[in-house]
Amino acid sequence: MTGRLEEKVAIVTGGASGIGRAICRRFNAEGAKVVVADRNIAGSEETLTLMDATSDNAMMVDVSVSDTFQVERLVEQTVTQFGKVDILVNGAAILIRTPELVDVDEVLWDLTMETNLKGVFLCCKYAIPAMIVSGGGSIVNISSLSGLRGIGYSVPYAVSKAGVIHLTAVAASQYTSQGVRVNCIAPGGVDTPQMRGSTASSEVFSDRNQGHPMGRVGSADEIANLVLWLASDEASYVSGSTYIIDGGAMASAT
Amino acid sequence: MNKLIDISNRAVADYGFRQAVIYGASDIASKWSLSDEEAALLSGELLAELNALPIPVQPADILAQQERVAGLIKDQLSS
Repeated sequence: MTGRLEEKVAIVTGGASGIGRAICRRFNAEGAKVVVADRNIAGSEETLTLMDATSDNAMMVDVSVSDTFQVERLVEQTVTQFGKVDILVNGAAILIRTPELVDVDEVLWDLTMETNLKGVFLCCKYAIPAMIVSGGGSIVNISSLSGLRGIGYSVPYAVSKAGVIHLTAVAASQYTSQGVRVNCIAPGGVDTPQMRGSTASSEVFSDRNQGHPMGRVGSADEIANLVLWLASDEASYVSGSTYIIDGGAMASAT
Repeated sequence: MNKLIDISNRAVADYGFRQAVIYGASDIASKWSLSDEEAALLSGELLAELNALPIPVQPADILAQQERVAGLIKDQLSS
């Protein structure tokens, strides 16, 4: 099935690699006009080359999601180029490993919160009014299993992702009545450059696959499938929800 | 110089922090209160070094890579 996002305009932050890139490609294949928003310019260019991209259906924007002026400009550029904003996917995030809480450097806390939580706040803040103007929209926030469990190898990452889940609920409570659906996904381990880089070594990555109920971590394309559904009109009665997508990892956790 | 070496050590050991440096060098320079000279090195030659590192740097190689990059920083800032 194709054309599920025909005539839709989507902003995807973190679109330069990993899950964000897979979402950009999938949205493009389903007919959306896609804005690849990321600080990684080379990665964004590569994403465009991997899509069926033309100046009529795709563009990239160099943006720091923690910078209010840059985010405001991102939304303005999108509206100028494509006329509206229907879909926002908040995928930009950083994952910095930290020791246990009392030993976490304040600067790493701030860095993580600025990108992972303030970034989602700012993108919602500026995209929602544009969505309301054009009759509504769909926001999909990318959280993490780390945001649901009291474990993880990064204290600020886990807490920021928990914040994304709650921001989703608050935003949905305030804007669903105006036609803006706001949902969240919480992926478990996904095979991305981020995950491979954040595991301590190739051996650890291999062990993580073996310890999973499905014998593997997820693929970015599998995550994009869920994001596509939430972004599309097929999920027209879905708002304020968080969807775990982890291949059964959380259900199997002891 | 020590602050810059601290940044590079973290970036060698942790890919997530490395990405934060590579795509936000000016933010990092500001948060670590680097001097202009240190900030220029971070956003120039050091960034190229960090970009060229393997993903991830294997645990057995971290110390050697940290020492190599720290050596580059010392050479640049003392010249």
